[in-house]
Amino acid sequence: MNFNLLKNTSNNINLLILFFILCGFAIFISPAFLDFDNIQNIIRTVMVLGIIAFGMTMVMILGEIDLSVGSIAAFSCAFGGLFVNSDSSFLVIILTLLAGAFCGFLNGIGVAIIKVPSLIMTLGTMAIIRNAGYIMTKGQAAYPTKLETYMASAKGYVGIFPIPVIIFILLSIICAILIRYSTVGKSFYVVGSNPMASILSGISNNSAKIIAFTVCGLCCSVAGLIQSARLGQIDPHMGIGWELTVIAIAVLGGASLYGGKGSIEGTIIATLIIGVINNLLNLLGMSNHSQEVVIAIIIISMVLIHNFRKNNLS
Amino acid sequence: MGTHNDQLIMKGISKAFPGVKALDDVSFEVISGEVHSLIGQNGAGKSTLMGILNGITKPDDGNIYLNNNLVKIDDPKDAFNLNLSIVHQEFALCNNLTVAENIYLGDEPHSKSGFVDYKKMHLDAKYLLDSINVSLGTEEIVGDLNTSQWQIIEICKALAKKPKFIVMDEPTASLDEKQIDNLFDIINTLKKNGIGIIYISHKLKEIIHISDRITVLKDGKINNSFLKQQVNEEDLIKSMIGENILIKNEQQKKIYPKKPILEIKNYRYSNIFKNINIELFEGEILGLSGLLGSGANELLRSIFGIIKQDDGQISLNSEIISINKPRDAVSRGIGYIPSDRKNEGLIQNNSIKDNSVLTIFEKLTNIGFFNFNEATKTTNDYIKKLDIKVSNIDSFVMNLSGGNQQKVVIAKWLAKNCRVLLFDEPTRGIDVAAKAQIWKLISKFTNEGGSVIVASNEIPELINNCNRIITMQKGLISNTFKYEDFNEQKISLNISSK
Repeated sequence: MNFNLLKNTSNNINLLILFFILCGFAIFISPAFLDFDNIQNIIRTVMVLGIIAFGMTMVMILGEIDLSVGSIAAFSCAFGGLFVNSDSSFLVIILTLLAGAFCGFLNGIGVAIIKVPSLIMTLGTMAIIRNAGYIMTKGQAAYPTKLETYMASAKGYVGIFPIPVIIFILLSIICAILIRYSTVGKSFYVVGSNPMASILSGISNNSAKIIAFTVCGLCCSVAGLIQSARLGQIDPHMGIGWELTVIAIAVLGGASLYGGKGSIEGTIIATLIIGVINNLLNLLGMSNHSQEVVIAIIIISMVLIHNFRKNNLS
Repeated sequence: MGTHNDQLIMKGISKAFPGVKALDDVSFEVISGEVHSLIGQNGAGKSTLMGILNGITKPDDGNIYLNNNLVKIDDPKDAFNLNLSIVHQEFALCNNLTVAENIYLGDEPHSKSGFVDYKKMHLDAKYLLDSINVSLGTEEIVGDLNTSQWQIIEICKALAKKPKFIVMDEPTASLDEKQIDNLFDIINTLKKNGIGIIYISHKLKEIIHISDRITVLKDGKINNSFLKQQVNEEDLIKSMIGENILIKNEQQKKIYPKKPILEIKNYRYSNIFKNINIELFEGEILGLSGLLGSGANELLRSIFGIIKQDDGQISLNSEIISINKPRDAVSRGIGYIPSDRKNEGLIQNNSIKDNSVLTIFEKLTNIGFFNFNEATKTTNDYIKKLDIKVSNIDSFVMNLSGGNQQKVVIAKWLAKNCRVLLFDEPTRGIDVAAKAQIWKLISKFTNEGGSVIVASNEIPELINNCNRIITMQKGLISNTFKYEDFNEQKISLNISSK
């Protein structure tokens, strides 16, 4: 474990260096980067995707992938939004989270028990869950503006700290503990590194996978909740294309598409880096389209770097 | 194809690996139109000799001559240029392609316009198949064919390179009797076409049937050379094994039928093995020996639940249990040490500690949290007990030697407190000293009341350490040897005849 930690640490230090270089570059380009509003804007925008990236990191440590994250976020919020007139924030939030966890659980069952490759399973559920959300809401948005606690999840403050940031930090701590110190988390790495050896040692690969996908679904609903509160509307069209950025964050943070690698610390730093890159591109006046191009290039080059390292090793 | 008398001679070949003299002044030759067989126990030097002929291994000493001209074979391409083809034991076929495409894989005929000339490819393939009197559609998809036809396609692949000499490594391992007859017809046709064949096999009856000459390698030296007419199976076995008296493990003792721990009744899986009845007693080391295709390794895997048997029942301590997956076996205290420890036994890029406690994750859990201190303690415990040479339990297992890696695999089952351990080729690929240590661990485990089944083809090792040995052939138990009746020649005969 120390050895693992060391390796992760060196990777994370590289990421931190990259982060500061990017920040320096951004300041050089536009001093407006350091404006309090701008920084807050970066954090608020990227935090939502960072939360999902925690779940994605777990799924990827297992050697799987989840493409349905955006759909789960939209569907779970829409499901909670059906009860928006109940005037109970608590009810809406709980239903949202349950719906998210349930969607993730279904992904887990499909991948672990039915043994559909996760790429295909979640590609399918991406469409199914997304469209189930449209059918359920007839494509109409709901407005949670009257629900105080619900809205506070994006707009509230505790002291000077915005609540979404607090949620992000809390979730990161929980996920980090889950991955590093819980037995289930340990089995993620084992299953992802060598599924055969893990089965032959009597470890249940299936339950590890189901848990990881369920947690990922839960993360999606939390992220969707914050996003809905931020925009003041629960839109079933939310989260289209999120999977691209979320996978980019996880991969940049050190998660391997081949399984067995990844850490929450890396994912946190990667979240900030992606945030800065997006902001930088905005400051440079580049369109959303070119931002997606850059993010896609990041994913591909991270895999390239991974392969390069692997070849160097052997 | 070579119609006149070509002659390939390996002269005075020597090769040493660290700690072993693999080949010591070995000379071997093959001429056009003959089958010259090479036999010997595991580790006798057959593979090394063929590796040298194929340019994979470089000899320390000795030369290779083709028709009295000195030739250099530095890599497989050189062997290919000398018209030497090898039919490997494992199939390397593309199941979704046709017979013709497989035969000319990577060497497709092209038309003038640069496209693959399928017409010519199929014609050539047909001609090739006809030349060995095989009727097989060149348009057939390889995945739809059976193993004997695969073997034929592998031979055609070799023939497509227009060889003068072919090495066949265990070509009958996956064939049944009728298919073997077919193969022998093909070999006879090849002989008539003037091709020289080096034939490697463990199956002595076949060797005597098909060979013109037989050379026996023992401990890296040519022990004997026979002409076909002069020899019978007993002679060959004697020559392979020698008449040295084996020193037996002092701690080894007869097991008088005590309580059987594990009972297997009427186990059957497809046509891989059937009618298997085995009793494993408390404190016993039971050897299970059979060649590739005998079903011995598959039987072990099915006891552990990796493959699910079609028929039969298994009971542990006289209680019938059902094992559908490895997890079921593990929870019953049955452990499995796979022969492929690299891919199945260990998680290479995880630490020694993580690997040692892999089986007891659940035990090391306190309300969901992993108990790192206990894991370290357990690991250090077993490192001391098993004498595993490590500098740091947090370093990756991939940096350990084969013997030490194997001990880590054993450690994880001892940590689980298993009562029954199934070893699949436990000493494969590890050095002599480590082998002895592994056997010592096994016998210590049984002395403390554990029971062990060892599937292995290292018969001298089994004889030295087991209480009973069961031999398997073609999916059936061919014999059971009690400790008093251990005899290497008889056991070998029960594995390799037919």
